[in-house]
Amino acid sequence: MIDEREVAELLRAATDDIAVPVAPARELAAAGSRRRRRRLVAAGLATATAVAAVAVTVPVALNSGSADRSSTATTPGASCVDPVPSRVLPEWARTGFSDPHPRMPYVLGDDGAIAAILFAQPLTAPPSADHNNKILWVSRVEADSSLHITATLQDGSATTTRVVDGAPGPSIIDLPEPGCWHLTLKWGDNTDTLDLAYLAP
Amino acid sequence: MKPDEDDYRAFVDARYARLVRAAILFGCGEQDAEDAVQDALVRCYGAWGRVSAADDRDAYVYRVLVNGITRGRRRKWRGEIPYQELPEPPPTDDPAATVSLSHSIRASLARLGREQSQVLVLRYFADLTEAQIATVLGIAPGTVKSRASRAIATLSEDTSLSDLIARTHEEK
Repeated sequence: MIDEREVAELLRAATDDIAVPVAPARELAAAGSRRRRRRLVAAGLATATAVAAVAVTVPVALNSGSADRSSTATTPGASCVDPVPSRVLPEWARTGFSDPHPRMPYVLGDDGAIAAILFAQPLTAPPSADHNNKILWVSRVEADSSLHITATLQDGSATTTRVVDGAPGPSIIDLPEPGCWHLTLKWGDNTDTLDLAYLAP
Repeated sequence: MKPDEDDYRAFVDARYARLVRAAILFGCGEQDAEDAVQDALVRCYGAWGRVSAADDRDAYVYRVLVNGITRGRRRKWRGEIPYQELPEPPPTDDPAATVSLSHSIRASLARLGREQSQVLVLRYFADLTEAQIATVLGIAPGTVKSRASRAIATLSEDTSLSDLIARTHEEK
């Protein structure tokens, strides 16, 4: 019969070979703070939303015969676009491309400081069997600091972090579940945000 | 109550690695374990004032973590891809292919089943008391005790562990 001390030793030995990265404490606190604010706002708006729903439902019901269906369509997130359209890359993001005017699907950061160039579409969670979630990150300014990504699902129900070592560059960014993800990006002294849609494969 | 961010960050710095390892012992893959822990810690931030006041932060965080992992398993069951033949590598005599110590122990833990392995990990890896584990899992303290003792009895009969226990003693 093994004793309690041996059980504790076995459990420690079972994870001794696992290298856990440094805790992203600052990013988690920031994500937790955003989630807390959203929940407070959501709670405050709940009553107003209920009243607004009644105000909208009554006229829609009265005019249902002529309602425009396109106006009620929903999308994963206001700024999550799928598929991301191919466009000519900004001049500062063309390094490494042989075509002088390369057309690629890309998402520009909200402040225009970084571009996420998608090498496969759609991005999928979990990763698709036939292509990777390969993203090339290009910084507008020269950068030699690792890119820290904090990704939060639009409804705030999940947050995760990823790091692109060294500097913004080629990466495989797998996220835990499908949805519209809001990414906060930090590299050196630079920050930017953008949204990416991940679909179920 | 506004969370004390310094206190929260100090807790995360101190406990992060152990929480990730605990999530792996709960049966998560390494990447999923990190995701689960990060998700749990973000959820805990909003309640940090209450959590700190209750002075039982470990139990609270483990409860959020265990619930999150359970919820994730329910949500992702359709993500599993069945194979007619398992994609196992062919047998080899290469000693480098020997199954590692840690994987063997985790396999033994997985054979215990979720309820018993959770109690073992919380008691002997996370160092929670029986009362704290009862709170984390929402069961009676007596159930914690009986699950732990059944789990230890099962591990004692696991012949693959006898050798491993000897090896852990040798490595000390």
